[in-house]
Amino acid sequence: MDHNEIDNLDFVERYLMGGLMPDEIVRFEEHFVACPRCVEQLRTTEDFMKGIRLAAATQAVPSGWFLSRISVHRLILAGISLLLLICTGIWIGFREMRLRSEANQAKGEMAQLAAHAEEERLASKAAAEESRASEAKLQATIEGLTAQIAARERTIKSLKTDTAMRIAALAEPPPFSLQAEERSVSFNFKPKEIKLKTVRASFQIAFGLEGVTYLREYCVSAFNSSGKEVDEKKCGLTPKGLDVVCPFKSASFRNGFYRFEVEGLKNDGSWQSVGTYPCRIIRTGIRRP
Amino acid sequence: MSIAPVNNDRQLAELVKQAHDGDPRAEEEIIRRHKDGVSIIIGRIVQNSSSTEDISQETFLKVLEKIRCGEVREPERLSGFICSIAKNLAIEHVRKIRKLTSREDGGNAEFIPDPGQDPFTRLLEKERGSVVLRIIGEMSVKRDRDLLMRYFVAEEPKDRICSDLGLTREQFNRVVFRALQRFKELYLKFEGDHRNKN
Repeated sequence: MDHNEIDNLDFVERYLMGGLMPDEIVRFEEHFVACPRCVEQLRTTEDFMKGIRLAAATQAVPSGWFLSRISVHRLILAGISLLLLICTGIWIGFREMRLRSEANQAKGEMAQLAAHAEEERLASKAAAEESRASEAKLQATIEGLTAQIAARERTIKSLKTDTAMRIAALAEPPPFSLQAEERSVSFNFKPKEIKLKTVRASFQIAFGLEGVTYLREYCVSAFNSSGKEVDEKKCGLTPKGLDVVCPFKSASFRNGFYRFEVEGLKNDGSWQSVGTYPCRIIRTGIRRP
Repeated sequence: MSIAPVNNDRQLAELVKQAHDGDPRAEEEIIRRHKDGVSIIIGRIVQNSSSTEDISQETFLKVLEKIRCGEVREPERLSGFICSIAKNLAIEHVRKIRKLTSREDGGNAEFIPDPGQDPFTRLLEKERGSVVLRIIGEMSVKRDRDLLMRYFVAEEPKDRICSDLGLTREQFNRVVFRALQRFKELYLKFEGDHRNKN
């Protein structure tokens, strides 16, 4: 191995960088181990390599060299980036201040709204209590009025009863005799009062004519206490010719005061009143078949 | 490829013969001729200056012992014999270190560094960095700075760098040569000054 070969094939650098093949390493080492020139070259190159690698690793580069590696437009870009960064920081700061003031304002408004809501809640509570009180008062008034109405109804009812009794008292009937029959079973009644204890479908009433026996035929109309006609029957004379006997349906009568009017047909065809017979019907019970 | 030995084979064979006969001057001459190269070979393996020195001494002890015992079969190829002994001892040392530090991942035992560096070595390394920075700072052409960084740091192939920068191999070698010369000048000056101080 000669030095031309070593220089041309870069044995020194390749040996230090680990770029030689194993047989090249053996040959080169056998050469340089006794070659002062190659040893010196190896030492210098190795030290230089270590130094430049250390410098690159620690980036302890001189300022002039560093600046020379940075182009002008990169410096401009860096400056612009820095400026943008500062502007962004300032903008963020102002934005934060503004947001904070808005937040404080919103907090104040929230507090006001909360106070207002509390006032409204209290007011609605008071109104509800007042409403409940007025409702209770109204209920009491209604109950009082209902009671008054009931009392007045009772009064009216009692007055009606009293009036009816007074009317009945005023309408004092003339004496007359009645006879009622039910299925051929005759029984006597006291005057002015007919008690239908065992009424069935119908009953008969005999009216005394008191001498008015010259008329051709007779008719009896029954009116209740209100003056409404409840029944009307034609009837004939009894065998003796002193009374008329008239049958009525039991369903047409209820308990109460009735007025029976008897009329007779004259020979000229007109009707003549014979007499009015007030009486009281008392139904005490119904015997069922 | 022809091999042109630096040392004359006859001279080496004569030195081996004289050392075998017990001439101390021949032994000194053998050591003087080989000690720097042996240090480089060992240093590449153990990566530690003090260990390198110890192993270097051990290497020459073993070589001289072999010479004295007449176990050097080809005296004219003494350099290769010394290289193989130095490498074997360095690798053995690294294996010992590996065992001591219980490192299991030492696939390539030749390149496991010996832990720890003495203060002088650290100082030299720091100064090497400073000197290199100074040299780079002195370079006026940006292309030359890029060349050094790409070649020695990034370890890009020389041909690619030449192609990128538009250089011939001669121009490339000239740049590297000037940088190395300047480095040698400054660094050796510092090293010499420091050694003289101490």
